[in-house]
Amino acid sequence: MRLKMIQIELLWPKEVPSNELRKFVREKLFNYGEPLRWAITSVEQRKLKLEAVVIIPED
Amino acid sequence: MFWRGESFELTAPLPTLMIVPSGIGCSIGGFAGDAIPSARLLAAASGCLITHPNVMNAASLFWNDSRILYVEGYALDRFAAGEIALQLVRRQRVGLILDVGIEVELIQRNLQVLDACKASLGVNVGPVVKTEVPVQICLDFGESGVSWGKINNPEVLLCAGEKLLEAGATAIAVVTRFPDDQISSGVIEYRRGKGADPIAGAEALISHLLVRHLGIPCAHSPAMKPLPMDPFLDPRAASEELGFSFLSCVIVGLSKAPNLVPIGLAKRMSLTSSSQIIFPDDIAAIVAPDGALGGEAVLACLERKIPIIAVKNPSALDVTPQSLGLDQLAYEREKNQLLRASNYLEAAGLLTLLREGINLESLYRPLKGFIK
Repeated sequence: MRLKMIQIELLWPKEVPSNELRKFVREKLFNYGEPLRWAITSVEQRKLKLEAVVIIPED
Repeated sequence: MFWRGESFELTAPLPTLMIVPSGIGCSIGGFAGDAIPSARLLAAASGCLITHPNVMNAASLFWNDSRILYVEGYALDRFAAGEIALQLVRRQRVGLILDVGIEVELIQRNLQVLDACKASLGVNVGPVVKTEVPVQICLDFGESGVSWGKINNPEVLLCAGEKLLEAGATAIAVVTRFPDDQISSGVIEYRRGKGADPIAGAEALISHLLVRHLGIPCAHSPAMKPLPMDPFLDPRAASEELGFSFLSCVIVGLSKAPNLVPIGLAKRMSLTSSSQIIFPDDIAAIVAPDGALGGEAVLACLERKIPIIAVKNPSALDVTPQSLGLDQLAYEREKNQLLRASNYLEAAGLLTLLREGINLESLYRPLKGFIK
């Protein structure tokens, strides 16, 4: 396994309420690997900035 | 609920999560255990505070309070998300992982901490396992100013953890070598009370990784060369200047840390044994800095309609109730879900209010009547 730090931006769809934000973010992070530690570090005009470390299994 | 079997009291403990995220430079809790006084206050108000090592670890200093449960951040996220429960225990057997990249003298210093915890505190410690190769930690900061890091050899940590588990450890402390050259640049500012702790982010990754893999309580302590005397040291960082190792607070915290039990198993256990278990459904509130609401535990509580007490506690982040649309949520639909506090004193008052079932509106004037 290896760990990778990622910094990404996501558009926060209007149909996703704040109480479903965690599931939305986790789902997006799984595109990069299994999220080990993450946080939304900024929200501006429905643009989320995320910093995370994900686990990537060895090939 | 964990007080099942005891006589029911209307002011029974109010299990409360307290979060001060690692490495984001919080004014309270961004240094060396400087959120402990706040945690003690919230524990007194709630009767049961569940918080993480970044709040309770103060290097050579620590505070033991039976109302405070020491739960590593990854486990705390899983608990908030409803995936695990916490089983109260009388003691843990705390094993130690030592990074083989640590110099002999620093290894001896840390082993002496283990001896001291056994001899002077009566903690159940050991065994000790060294990693097969150096773990190799690199430090990093995100664009936001939050500290992160890189673990070059994560699998050696997991392998050492498996050996400890097999040898009977029920909780794991881990000490890894941190790079002196990378520490020196950020640490000068940090010791003077500015910026985020440069090593906190990497520390969180190490303990998160172990908890995820092993499913038992784990916490990290860094090993590095002693720093030169700084006459301008910020008092909030002073507890890190008292000794040769930061391990003692970790051992004490882990010594009674609750077991992490998958939720299905916990439900079965609660039916068949007298175990004292705190379930995610027991969480009555979460207290977090008002600019750091974008972490998993807070968002999980939001999802599960658990009241959020957002406390003013400046940091590198500005993810506020307003930016997440929580103000609107609070006032239009879920009136009691967001409570604001301008400091931890007010947060303690709000917890008391929740614990006693007092109507918040009754405390403010003017008070609206029902007759128009």
